[in-house]
Amino acid sequence: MSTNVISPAQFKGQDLQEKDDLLVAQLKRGQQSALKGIYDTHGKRIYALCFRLSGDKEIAEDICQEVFVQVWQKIHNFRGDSKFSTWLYSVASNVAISHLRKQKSWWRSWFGSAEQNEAELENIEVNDEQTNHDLSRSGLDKHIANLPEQARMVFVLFAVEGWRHEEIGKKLNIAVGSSKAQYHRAKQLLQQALNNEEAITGASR
Amino acid sequence: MSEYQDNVQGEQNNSLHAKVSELPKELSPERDLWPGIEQAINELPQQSHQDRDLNWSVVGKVAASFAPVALVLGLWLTPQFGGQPNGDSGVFNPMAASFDIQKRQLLIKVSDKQPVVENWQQSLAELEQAEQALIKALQSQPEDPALMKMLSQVYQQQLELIQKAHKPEIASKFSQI
Repeated sequence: MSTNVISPAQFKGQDLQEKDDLLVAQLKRGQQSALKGIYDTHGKRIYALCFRLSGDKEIAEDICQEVFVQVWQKIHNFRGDSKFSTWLYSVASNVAISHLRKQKSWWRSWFGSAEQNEAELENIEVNDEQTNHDLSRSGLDKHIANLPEQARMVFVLFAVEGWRHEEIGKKLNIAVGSSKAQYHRAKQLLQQALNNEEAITGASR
Repeated sequence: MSEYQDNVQGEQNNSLHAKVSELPKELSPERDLWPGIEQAINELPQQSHQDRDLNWSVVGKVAASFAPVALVLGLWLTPQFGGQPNGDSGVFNPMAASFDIQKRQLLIKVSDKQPVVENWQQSLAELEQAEQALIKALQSQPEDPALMKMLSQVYQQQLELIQKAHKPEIASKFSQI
């Protein structure tokens, strides 16, 4: 019996890639409608990445727009060596990191004193506005958004996006050990926040 | 760390890991982001398209200015007279290789004929510039069909230019332009 049967999920993935290939070819010919197609297909995933990296809805919206403008301008840099979606998420990560570097909080986060960082650690709490926001279906997004910037970025890139610490270190210009330490810190903070949330929820029942 | 603490931490890690895997892959922004993107791209040209337009303007100018003649360039381009084959174009084999052969053969063929238009070598040099620009663009985007098509057209124009510059009946038409 032949084992070369394409599962529905694979078929869907294949369809998506074919659609991407077509849109990329059109985009390279300068068709704006192709960018709209790419935005419709990938926009929400890109926004999710931008939101998780920045921890701020408005900043994430700005970054997301910038990502698609960059895709428009630099589509000819995409040579087809990887899947288009891989290239797109790489562009999004680069734009987000570059955007966040310009923020004051970036430098404060990376060069703040240990005391300041500890204070931020204590500030992990449930924000009502974010709790009610429909972004937080899993309940974890609101806690990720409240992490200190460096811990949040490392956590998102490592745990959510599947980067390696070596890649994160290179991209954020930090040592691999720092990336691992920040990831460990983020895990502790998130666990603490989840425990606190559980305690509050349990007490209110 | 005690075994109990290890177990507690292990369970917590599993719980966190499970929550991470449950994170939605997509999130919706609160406002429609497309109008802002559309406005921005209307004001910003695509980088490579700009370059391509520039290259084509060179080709366009050349097509409109087939003029006077000289044999020297043809001799220079012919390997047996000391010319060098185009090394870069080897990347785009077999099209480039085929073109190089045709061009050399044609230049050898017309080398003993009197050209009938002046400055044809200048036009050829401009087409060669366009060719080099396209090859450079193709080195970064080797799969781009539009660039390949343009390169093919530039090759064809070079062959036609060499031929026409040495055919009296056609040259007379150029002199009227």
